[in-house]
Amino acid sequence: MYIPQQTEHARQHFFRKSNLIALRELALRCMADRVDKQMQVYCRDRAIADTRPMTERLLVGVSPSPLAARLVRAARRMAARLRAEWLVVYIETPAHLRLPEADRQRVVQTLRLAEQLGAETVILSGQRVSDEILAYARARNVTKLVVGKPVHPRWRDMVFGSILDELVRGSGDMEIAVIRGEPGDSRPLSSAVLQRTSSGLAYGWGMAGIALCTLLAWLVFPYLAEANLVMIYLLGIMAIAVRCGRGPALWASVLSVVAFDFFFVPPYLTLHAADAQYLLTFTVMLLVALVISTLTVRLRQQADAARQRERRTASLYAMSRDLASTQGRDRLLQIAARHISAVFDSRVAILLPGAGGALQACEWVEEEREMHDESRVQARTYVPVPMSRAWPSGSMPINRWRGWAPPRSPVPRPCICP
Amino acid sequence: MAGLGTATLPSATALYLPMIASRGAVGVLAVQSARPQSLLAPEQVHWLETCASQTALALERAILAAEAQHA
Repeated sequence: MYIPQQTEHARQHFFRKSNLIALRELALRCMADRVDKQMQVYCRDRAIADTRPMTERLLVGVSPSPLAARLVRAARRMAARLRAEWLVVYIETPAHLRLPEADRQRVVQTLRLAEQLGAETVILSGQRVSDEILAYARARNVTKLVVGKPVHPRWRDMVFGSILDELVRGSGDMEIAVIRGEPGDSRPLSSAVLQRTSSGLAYGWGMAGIALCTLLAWLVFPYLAEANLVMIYLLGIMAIAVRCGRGPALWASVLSVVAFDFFFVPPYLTLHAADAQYLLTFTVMLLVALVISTLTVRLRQQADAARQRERRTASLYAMSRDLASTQGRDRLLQIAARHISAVFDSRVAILLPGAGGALQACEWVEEEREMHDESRVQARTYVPVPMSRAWPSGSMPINRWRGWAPPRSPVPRPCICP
Repeated sequence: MAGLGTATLPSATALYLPMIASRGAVGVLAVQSARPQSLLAPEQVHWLETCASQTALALERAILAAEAQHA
């Protein structure tokens, strides 16, 4: 629909010959796809064996980059054209743990998108991205690798090595398609942002730790050589890294160098050093302190991550066991709700299809009750609460659900289906 | 998946996961946490999905058992 003034504008700018030809091409392509589908349906209905069996298998390597979603969509089109199965692989390297939350979230979204588009998704863990991709591709008889074009500067390839290069060299019989996006690179586009996680108090503890080290070093100063005083500081920094985290440890590393210079390097009680040799001492001391603190903190992070995983896995085991040994719908739901809410410290509700296809909700609310023998022991039970009365049948019933805050925008976003 | 942190209704306060068993969806699991960020970590979402499918299987078993008794 055009108003008269726009008609002329549209004729000159949109309805040009090139655009029209492009549109015609798109339309014909859609038609070809459709005929192809009809052919497939016909063959399937008559149980005619597919004359063109699936011979290709695509493997797509994705990264946490925002371009990965585009890569997945492009790969899907490619797979559809080749009538190929396709796999989407993400390699979890040790660097993955240090990625910002947003990047990790994006990986999951990319993989979910791929699943929705019909891919098989796999998360592998390994040290080197290229080795893992190639090994997995060989194991699955992949005929074609799809990775994104690199967008990082060239010097990074020269310094850290290029994943794309290694893939090309190691791929053997496989074809490699490099399309727009980023290669299966685990380095994020936005380099890991250092989030402040330690409190001011932790920094205070770091300072106190170095003060303690200085005191200790001062006490043994007459008996020990300077090199051994440095060791006292390094020990202190390690303890601070374990107890307080990354920021305080770095802070303590710098402080220790200053304190060492101030108290134990002649001329004493100044920041000057009489001998230029001490510069080397300071530099190495700082470097060693930084490395020690970084390694210690990373170790702690990995241990924390492992512990969390362990906890989740244990609760999953417990839940499966309980579910397997239980009869009855309500009991089952009760067990599931209890286990899930215990791990997340959250409210859990389960909605089930009721009569007439409408969803009916049951929420298990933790209630404290007095025992019947009046011993005033508080027992926690999960009580199914029928939600139907608090849940009028509106257009968006789910969000009016028992005091759960409604969304700020009541209009649902259109869901773009591929 | 819908609700908090997903593409569908991201401003809702809870995360909704489908419970899918072999015969299709048997229900919806809704989780609301005091700390929404902890809910959205990829590992947690994976874990929740696993929980949802476990529950779905158990639920389907219960439904089938009930159907068999009625028959």
